[in-house]
Order: sequence, then C-alpha cells, then structure tokens
Amino acid sequence: MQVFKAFLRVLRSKFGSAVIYIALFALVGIIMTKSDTSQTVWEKAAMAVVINDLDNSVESRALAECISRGNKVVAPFDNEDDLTDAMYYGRVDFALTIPEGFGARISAGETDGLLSSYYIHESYSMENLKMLLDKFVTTYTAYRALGQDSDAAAKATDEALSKEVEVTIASRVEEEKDNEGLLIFFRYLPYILMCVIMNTLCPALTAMNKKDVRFRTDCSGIRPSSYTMQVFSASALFVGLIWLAFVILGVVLNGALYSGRLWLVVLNSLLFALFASVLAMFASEFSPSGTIVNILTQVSSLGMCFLCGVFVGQELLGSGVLAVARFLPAYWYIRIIRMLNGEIPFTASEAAIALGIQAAFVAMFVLLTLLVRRTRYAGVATHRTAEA
Amino acid sequence: MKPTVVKIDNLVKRYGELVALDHFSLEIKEGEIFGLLGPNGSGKTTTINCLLSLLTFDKGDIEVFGQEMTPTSYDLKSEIGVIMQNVAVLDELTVRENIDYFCGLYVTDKAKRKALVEEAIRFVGLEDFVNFRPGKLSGGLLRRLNIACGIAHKPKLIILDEPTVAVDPQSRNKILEGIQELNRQGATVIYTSHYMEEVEQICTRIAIMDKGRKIAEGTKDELKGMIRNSETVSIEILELPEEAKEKISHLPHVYETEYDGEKLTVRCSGGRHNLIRILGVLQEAELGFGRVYSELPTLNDVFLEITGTALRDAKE
Repeated sequence: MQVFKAFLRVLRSKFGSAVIYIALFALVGIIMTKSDTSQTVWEKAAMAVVINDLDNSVESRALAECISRGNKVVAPFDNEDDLTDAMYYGRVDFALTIPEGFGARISAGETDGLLSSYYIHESYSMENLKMLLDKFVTTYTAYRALGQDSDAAAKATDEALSKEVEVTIASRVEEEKDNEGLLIFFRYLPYILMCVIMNTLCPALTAMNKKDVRFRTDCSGIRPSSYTMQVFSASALFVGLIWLAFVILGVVLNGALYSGRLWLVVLNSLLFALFASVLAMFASEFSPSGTIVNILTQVSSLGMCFLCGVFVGQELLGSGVLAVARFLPAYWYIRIIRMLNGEIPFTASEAAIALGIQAAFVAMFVLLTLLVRRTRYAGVATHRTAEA
Repeated sequence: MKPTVVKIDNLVKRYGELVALDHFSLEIKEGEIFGLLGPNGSGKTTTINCLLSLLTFDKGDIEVFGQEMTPTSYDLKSEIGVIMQNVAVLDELTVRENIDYFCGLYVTDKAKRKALVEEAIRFVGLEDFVNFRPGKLSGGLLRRLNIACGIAHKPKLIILDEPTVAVDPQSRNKILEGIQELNRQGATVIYTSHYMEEVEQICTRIAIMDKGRKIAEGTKDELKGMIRNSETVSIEILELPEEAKEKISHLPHVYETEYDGEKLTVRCSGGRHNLIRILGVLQEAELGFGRVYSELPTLNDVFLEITGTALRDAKE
C-alpha cells in the first residue's frame, strides 16, 4: 500500500486549484437550479395597437375586430412624431396601417404586401400579433377561395381566429419539468469534471512517472503489476470520490434521491468522469509540465464543451460543428441530457448507443495509453534478453 | 576468501551501431568499495543499468550474490540500494515522506520502517529538514536526501552513480564519509565517478573504463604501479639553456622533460632522489628558479598513459 498512500499524498498536493473549481461550480449550480424557471413560460399579453384603417372595407373592419380581441386598440395619432414618441415610451406597442384597396386585393387572392406595420420592441407577444395578421390573410383568402362572399368570409375568419386551443407538450412530462434544474447542473458537469480531474490526476501521474523516480522504483523489490495496481486504485478512488461528490451535490440541489430515468444521468456522468481520467492518464505519459497541463486542460475542456453543446445548446449549433462534435464524448453525454430534458425523443436504444460510444472512448484512450507506455519503455528491461 | 557479490561476465551492450559495453567483465568481493572510473560516455552508467536490469543487454551474464540477475529478481533487488546520478525524489512529499516512501518499497513492516527512516535521516544529517519539501533544500541537502532514499532499507549492496555531481565541497566530504561509514557497517559499495580524487580517496579497488571497455583494474597502488611514471617534478623557471635541459633529461630515471618558457616538467620512473639531482643541475648552471613541486602519480596519469588522453580531457 506504500505506493497507494504516496500517490494519494501527491494527489492531495495537486488538489488546491481543483477545490476552487469545485466551490465555484457548486455555487453556480445552486444559483442555477434554484432560479425560478416559471418565468420562462410565455403567457399572451395584451398589446397597445394603433390601427389606421384607410380602406374601411368589410375586410379591414373584420381585421380590426380580430386585433381588438385580446389587445388594446389606441386611437390614431394626428402626426407621425406623436406616434413615434408613444411607441418609444411604450404607450403604443404596434402601429398598423391598412392601406386603401386592402379589401379588393385580399378578395382577389393577393397575400403579399397587403399591410404595413411599425413597432420598436421585439417580444413573443409581438410575434404572436404578427402571426395573427398572417393567419387573418391566409384564412380569409381560403374562405374566399371556397366561394364565400366578403361578409361570410370575414365572419367565418373572425370566428376561426377567435378560437383558442389549449396545447399540451406531449414529450415534456411533469417529471422532466421538475428535474430541469438538476439537468442544467449535469449539463455543465463535463467541464468541471475535465478541469478537476485533468488538473489533479495528470500532474500527479506525471510526478510518479518521472524518469528518475520510476528508475528508482524499478530498482526496488516491488513488482510492476503491484505498483500499477496501487497507482490505479488510488486514481480510481480519487476519481470516484470527485464523481460521488458531484452526484451527492446533485441530490442536495434536487432535494430528492435520483429515480427512474435520472439514474441514466448518474451513469452518464460516471462514464464521462472515466473518460476525463483516461485522458489525464494518456497525457501524463508525455510528462507534460504544469503549464502544458493547464493549457491542455483548458483547450480540451473548453473546446469540447463549446463544440458539443455544453455551453451552447446543440440545437443552436451548425451541422458542420455537430458533425465534428460526434467524434467527441461530450456530444454523446449531452444527447443523454437532451433526451432526459425532453428536447429530443427518448429511446432506450438511442440512450444505450450514447452511453456505449462514451465507453468506447474510454477504452480507446486506455489502449492508446498502453501503446504509448510500451513505446516509451521499449529500451527498458522487462525480461532476460542476453544471448546464451 | 570473501564471497563474490557482483560478477559481470563478457557483457556487451549496443545502441544501434554504437557499442556501449564491449565484452566488459568485473568481479566485486564482499566488503569492497569498488570504484568505476572513466570519462563521461565510457559506459559506467550503462554498466550499472544493466547490472540493475533496467536495461536489456546483447550478450553476457550478470550475477548478484551468486544468483543470476534478471528483471524479475525481486529478492535480489531487495538487497540492493541505488543512488542515481540525478536526484530521484518526489517533489510533492516532504523529506521524511520521501524516505519513508522509498524505504517502504522494500520494508513493509511499519514499525521497522519507521526506525529505519529515522536512522537514515540521522545518518545523512537531515534532522532539521524532515518536514521540508525537496524544492526548499539546497543542492547538497538534496543529494543527501537522494542518498537517504537509497540506503534507508539497509541494503547489502549499495550502488552510487556519480552522487557528488554539482555538490559543494562540504557536502561532498559528508557524502564520501557517509559511504565509508556504510562500508564499515558491512555494505559492499560500487561507486562510479569521473572525479579521480574521490575514487582514490574512498575506493579499495578500482576499474578504469574507456569506450565501453575495462582498461585497467586493481588497487590504486596497483594501478599506479602499472605505469612508468612514479614522480613528476615541476619547477617554475624563466630561463633554461638547452645545455641544462639536456643534462636533466640524461639524469637517472628521467624519461621525459618538457619546458614551456615558464615551467619545467620532468617525469621520472622510479628512483628516490630525483628532485635533488634536478635541482643540483640548475644550481650548477647558476640558474634561478621559483616554486618547486614534486607530485606522485595520480589515476589521471594512469589513464593518460594507458589511453593517451587525460581523464579531464576525455570527459569533455
């Protein structure tokens, strides 16, 4: 156990910077998971709308009627400056001009450039209002195309648009909504796992693998298999404790133990912690300096997290970026998170593939580490080679 | 007759085209302080690495304590202490933790190890620095820590590969005295160096190496007896007529005379009154002279005479 204990002491000496990472991440995690997510749910708001009807036809009046339902119609202003001031100070949200000939053009089946509008601030309600205008035009022209006259078509359009349909998002069940904060915590976990494990494990392994120290160890009575096993055990203990600390933090932030599909996120994080460990082992084979380890950590963690959708959602990344990201384990880690968050459909086979690919990355780096080690120690005696 | 501790027979080690060890043989008896002397690149460290099974070799046999030495001879390795040329300690551990770690690779019993670690700390005089990390130690103290890590488990065979490189004279003396003390306590020592003074000072038997071959072996007196030179006389003199130089070179036992305009160097083989006879010639010619030195041959002279190159030149 001598190597095991010494390696833990070496790890402890390298742990200082990792504590800062963990503390900051815990703090950010608490803030993020405890923030009120209900504010992000959109509710339709009444808009102050100025309607300047220059057409005064059946169609224009029907449109004005439609808009006035759920919004506040403000009387038109005498001049444009007053309107601009009112919009600037938020007394008016939207100004609509229905030009002369609107009724005739829409009745003729025209749909483009029928209306002119003016607004300053963008919002979801503003988008909703613009959609209402588009829907009025398409619905009215549809009724006219069916052979109805102006009055009947206007009435039918008004009735159709007055109906509100209650929508339930089928893929986002209540459980997922409750775990949203926890999933945000786990979404950012790859970055912190990479930073903590790489910054601690890599320099510790490098110290133990230092050529002269290794020579002295090889001269001793300890068997190489015992040495390797002790270093491996100490590394596994360290990585396990770090991972467990984050899993427990997740429980604390969640306020409840993991259940159901949430165990997948735990397994997912374990695989990623293993990946960070084998990457640290692989890098340590090249005996990098402290500065190089730091650069390597930042490049690999930040690069992977930006490319794979940890910091920026995968849905916002270009197809080219995602094509590259598929060759990185963080991409598959985030896919599991997205499945559990209801962003993409969850299937057991897809989840198994994502986990399997991460496991394959771990296996690949273990093999690469062994290969590099074999090459580096090619000149060192491991068996008797002298001729008889 | 004392038993053989190390026996190297006909060892050949090649690095591609370069022959690092060329049919090198050696036998070291129990209780010796055996010096391996030679310039850098002569094959000393390669010999040690092969002896410790850290390197493969192309031909030959190595026996330690009468048994064949292989990479898996863990029992044999447990009886050997190694102090490498470079300081091999963990910068992240304190002095005590380092000694305890390396001692623990050999001694598993905790109580026994604790006593051994304390003894090693006392032996190298690091009592006041036990909680220091290596980065806080001076070069000399660091070398002492390096030695403590290698000898804490009380090995029967201690191998020191140039342990005094870049060490101040005070620490060097402390290290050399320590090696002699370890030997008095019963350890057989193999000491490699290119500092001939050190080897002369502590080694009971010496092998001189050059280009992977052993060129001479014996006690320091035996080695010096192998060469023609027995005394070198140097005289500071600003004027030396050719006639006087001729007379000196024809004196009994004088075999070489050199004069560079400031100093006369006369090499003699055997004889007892060489200095008196040389000074007699100078007085007879009424020549004034400055400081006079008479030096007995060194291992450098042995190396010079055998290889045609001085040790100090060869190591550059």
